[in-house]
Amino acid sequence: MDTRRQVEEWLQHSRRIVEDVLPGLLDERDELMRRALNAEDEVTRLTERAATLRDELARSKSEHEALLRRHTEIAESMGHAMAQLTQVFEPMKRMLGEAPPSS
Amino acid sequence: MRAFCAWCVAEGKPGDLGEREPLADPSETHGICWRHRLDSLAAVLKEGLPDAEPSIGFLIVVARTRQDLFEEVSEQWLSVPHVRVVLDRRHGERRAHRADVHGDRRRADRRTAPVVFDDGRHQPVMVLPIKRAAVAVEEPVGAGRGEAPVAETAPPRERFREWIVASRAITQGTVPSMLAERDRWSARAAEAESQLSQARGDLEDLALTLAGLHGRNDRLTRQQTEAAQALAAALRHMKRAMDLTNLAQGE
Repeated sequence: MDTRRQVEEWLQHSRRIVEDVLPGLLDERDELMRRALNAEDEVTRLTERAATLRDELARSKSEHEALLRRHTEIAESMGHAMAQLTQVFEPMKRMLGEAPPSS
Repeated sequence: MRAFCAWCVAEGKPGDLGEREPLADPSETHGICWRHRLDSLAAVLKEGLPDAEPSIGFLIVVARTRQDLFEEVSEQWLSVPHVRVVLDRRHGERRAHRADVHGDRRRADRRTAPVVFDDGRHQPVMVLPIKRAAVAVEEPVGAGRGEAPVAETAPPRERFREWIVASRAITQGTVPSMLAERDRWSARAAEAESQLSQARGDLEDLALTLAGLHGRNDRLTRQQTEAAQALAAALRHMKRAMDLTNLAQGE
């Protein structure tokens, strides 16, 4: 291969590097930078959202525990009410001489 | 007197550095040849210059009659910081040898080598310590003194050499640094996207848990409302039954 052709081929190769590869590399770096920064921003936003949801979850758990306690109390109250109702029906049963309604 | 390179002699080579004054003295003396001096400079630079002397650099001056050596030494020291290789710009040391000029009041040549073994009259290559600013490629010799920059006036060989130095700085410094930066951003993006995926999963789990808890709470609230209504109805029935009982007892 003669020198002129060798130099010309080298020049073409160098031109491809300078005009294509290097700008591509810079674009790729910029794109990666944009992706990284966007993802980091989104992670920050989601982390804040998760913190809000955790607070809400804690409140809901407290509410759930309160509801369960109230549920137990209502069940106890219902039991007492049924017992009193039975006591009320007993004299009626005796007096009327017939069985109270089953419902 | 005849001078020999002590390093060459130690390596078993002749190391003849030629005649030195006084020429009438037949004894031998020892010094260092330019090749070993460059080796020694390389060793010094490999160890690193003292931090206190950041402005110190070295000029390797090659005799202008030795283009072959200039190419060899330039190639060898091309990318070494603190060092610049130049061709000797002096023409025949006129001031040093003008024996016919008496009473020359001009001051001595500041470029005179500090030791005889670095004198261009005896060796084709000299090593001179200089201020680092003069070594920088960005500050060509003659800049700021009304002379044109080397890049425009220097012969093609020197301009080519300057171009090689600049290109090497790009290919060995800027481009690898750019690649490393791209790799860093790539790793950072991958890490951030992994965290994002994890955060999305966590958020989805939290939302599902919360929705389930809301559902259970709603169901409990509804059941309690129904139970309260049933209890109220039972109490009403009880009261009515008691009223009826009282009425029957009264009759």
